[in-house]
Amino acid sequence: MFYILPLFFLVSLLLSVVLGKVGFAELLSEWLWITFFFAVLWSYTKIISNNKFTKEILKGKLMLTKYSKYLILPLFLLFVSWISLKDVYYFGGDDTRLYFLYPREYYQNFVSKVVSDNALSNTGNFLPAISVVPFVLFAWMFKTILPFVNLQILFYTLNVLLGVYFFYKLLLYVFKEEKYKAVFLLVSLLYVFSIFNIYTLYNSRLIAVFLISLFPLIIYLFIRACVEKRFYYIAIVSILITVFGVQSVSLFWFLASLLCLLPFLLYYLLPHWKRVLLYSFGLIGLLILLNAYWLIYLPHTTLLSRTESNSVVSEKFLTENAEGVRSTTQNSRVFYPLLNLYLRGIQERNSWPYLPIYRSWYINILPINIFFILVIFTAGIFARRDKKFYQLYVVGAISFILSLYLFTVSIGETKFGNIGIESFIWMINNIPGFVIFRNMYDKFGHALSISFAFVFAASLCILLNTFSSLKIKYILLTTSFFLTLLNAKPFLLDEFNKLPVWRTQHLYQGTTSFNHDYSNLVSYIKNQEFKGRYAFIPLSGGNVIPIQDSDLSNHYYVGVSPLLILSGKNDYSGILSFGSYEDELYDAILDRDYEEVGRIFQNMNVAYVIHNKDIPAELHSSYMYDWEFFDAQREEFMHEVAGEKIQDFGNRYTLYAINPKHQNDKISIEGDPTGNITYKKLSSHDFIVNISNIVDGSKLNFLETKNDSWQLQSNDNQEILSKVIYSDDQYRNIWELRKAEFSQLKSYSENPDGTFNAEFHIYFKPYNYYFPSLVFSSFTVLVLFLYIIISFYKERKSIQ
Amino acid sequence: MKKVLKLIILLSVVVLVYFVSISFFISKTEHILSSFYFLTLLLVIHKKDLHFFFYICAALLITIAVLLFAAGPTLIRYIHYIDKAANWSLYFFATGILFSAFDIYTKNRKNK
Repeated sequence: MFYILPLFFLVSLLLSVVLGKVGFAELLSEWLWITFFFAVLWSYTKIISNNKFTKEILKGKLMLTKYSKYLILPLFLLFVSWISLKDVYYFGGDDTRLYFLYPREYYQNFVSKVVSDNALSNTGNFLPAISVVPFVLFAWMFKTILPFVNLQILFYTLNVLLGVYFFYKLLLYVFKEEKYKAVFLLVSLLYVFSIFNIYTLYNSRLIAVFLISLFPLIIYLFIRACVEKRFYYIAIVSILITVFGVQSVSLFWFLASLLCLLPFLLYYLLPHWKRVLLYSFGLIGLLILLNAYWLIYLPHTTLLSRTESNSVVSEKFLTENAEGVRSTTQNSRVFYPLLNLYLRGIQERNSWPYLPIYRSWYINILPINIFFILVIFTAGIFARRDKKFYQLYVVGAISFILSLYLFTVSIGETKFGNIGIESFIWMINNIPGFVIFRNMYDKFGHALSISFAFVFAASLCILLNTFSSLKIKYILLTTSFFLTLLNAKPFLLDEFNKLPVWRTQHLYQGTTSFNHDYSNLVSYIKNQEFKGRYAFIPLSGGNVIPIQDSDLSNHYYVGVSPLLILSGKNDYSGILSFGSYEDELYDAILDRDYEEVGRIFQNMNVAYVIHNKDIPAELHSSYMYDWEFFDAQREEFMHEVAGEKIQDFGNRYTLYAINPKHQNDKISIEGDPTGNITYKKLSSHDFIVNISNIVDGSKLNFLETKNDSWQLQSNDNQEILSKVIYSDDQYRNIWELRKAEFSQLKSYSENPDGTFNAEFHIYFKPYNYYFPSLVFSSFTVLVLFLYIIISFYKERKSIQ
Repeated sequence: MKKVLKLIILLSVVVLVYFVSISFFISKTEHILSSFYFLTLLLVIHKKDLHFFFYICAALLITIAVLLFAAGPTLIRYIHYIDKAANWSLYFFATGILFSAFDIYTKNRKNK
């Protein structure tokens, strides 16, 4: 009976093939599979709906019985242990992700620095690098306890599994309906494996990926704290937020999700609004105390930079931003995210690397994905009758609509323009701080996944309450489960990690360790005396370099240069490394004006040149090096910038000193031919300088990003009030060395010809707060831990 | 006479709504869908039953499903109609939810 329809399509399909109508046959084949799927489902349902097991599931009784608990835990541990022993890492990207393998080096050579070496390959410091110290220390602790484990895989696996668990707990708490445990578990899977999370958080592999498990946990604990008057939950939240960088590197995604869930939170917590306000202020206060150690460095980052070019309120920025939003959203169609799929237009226009999977898999399941939104819309018909879930459904739907709009933006095309796009641009231009969401297709991905799952949970509960037929209930649950699995399939089968590097055919990411030549180069540089920066030639068009794997020949590390982390010496690897010289250098290379390139290298303190001969041909005209740019950096270019050869490292790398023509020093005297200067780098924030035979009024040049907080100090830490000379060069600090001020120093001596000698420091003054603020934040953590433990035991005692 | 008058008023409303839609929206698909939207709005207010929004949402989704199957994997053939139907199903849904939120708000106030 159920199979008549698929049979009809099968016969029609055969007839079409016989008649040579292949196109029509293809269309019929889709219908054949769909009708066949539903026929099988229906007949299977008939058998299973009378089964005791099914009835138990639908009553929510089979979940986590006392036996399954004993079974689940060992299975869980076994799975996590097995998966964590793999030796392939996915390094690269903006933060290199090397904290999973080299947490100690990551801490010592990079994130513990507050200036100078606090940006990998000089890529700018939007936030102080030190803000991720808790996460790196956390990883370091794990690496010390479990040195043989692949931390990256362990953390990612735990993130997924705990994401399911915490979202399940959140739903169970909010919906307060034990009998729908199966629904909540299913919806948790839908949330964790949502395509919006896969495309944004999972594939970018930034620290923000941990929001998958942290966000539901934070919301769960916050709600419970407010409803049950448990302030120690707020203390736990503040520690979690601090350790996983939610308040710093993951803040934008977190705020986007919070903004979209606000309708639900306002509705749910409104009866306790006084406590919510009090606890919110408490949480903010705790976060300030816990993060004091890096908040004090915020004024020295580009985030709070006051320069015209960086200002987010400048006319130029606003115009460019509006154009950017328009061009990004022009092909966005709301029906893809409405059907639980990622935007298609933006992927096709920019040839995203995931496009092959999207075309071969997601587009094919698009028609059946209509089920999700059909369930949500149909629940609207019955929602009003359902006293228990009606309100949750409505607030969930408001969150969903809000996140859908903010994710897509292009909604409401009229003769007078697109209302959605224009409103979004207006918000960016007029709401302070809203500009952080301008990459809406990325920032609101997680928000959409969580609000979609939430409203879907409410919809399923309403429909299950409405229909008494076990068969319908079973169809709803089974179809939801299968569709969730179908949507998760590329992620579960690791298909995204098997894709070649963007715009290549045969190069892959996923590395075991860096090749031996690179390791030898790093070891050599580590022991070299400090003179200045290293430049990787050819420079890349952005700031990403390839490094071949030691074992897998077609696998490459693709990301920001990790030289600073591994050797403690910083480098320039691409055009973006050169800050204010970026455009000038790019034009100079393309125009083959190598003399000018040498001058820029000189100004940017390039002391060594590394000739990278290990760039695969496929990358010569990729997004890393466009062909014209790559071609302009060959022998002639090397001849101009490279001086004496220092050493070869296999066939892959050769280290040169800079061409003497472009010789430069980190610290030098200008306009004084008799003056001598020697210096030593004591740390990133402190250089000791010896000057001799200096003429009064000579200028001291210090090649480092311009910052008023660099100052001259005597050996006993007294500031030398030298006159700071203004310069347009953003990578140069200049002081006038005046005898009157230096004569106060103990190290001062005067020569018979009137010149003088002295010893002093160039010191980054905000470093003075480094240890006090670190102690302050650490003390807060200790106090909070004590408070949590005491509160927990007190509570347990009172229950007993 | 009353019936004729009612019919004339109804027709005038339909024509007015249609012309408002023409002056505001671009494509013909949207003229029809937007007219339909405004008339549903009038109906919901008149009958005080917001279910109509959700019925139309479901109907539009089924239309999308049919168009999706008919268009095939590339979707190019009917993409314009699919997109419009998806947009308008979202507008209907959003309005339905807005009315529901208002409904909850007034009920909660009464209960207080």
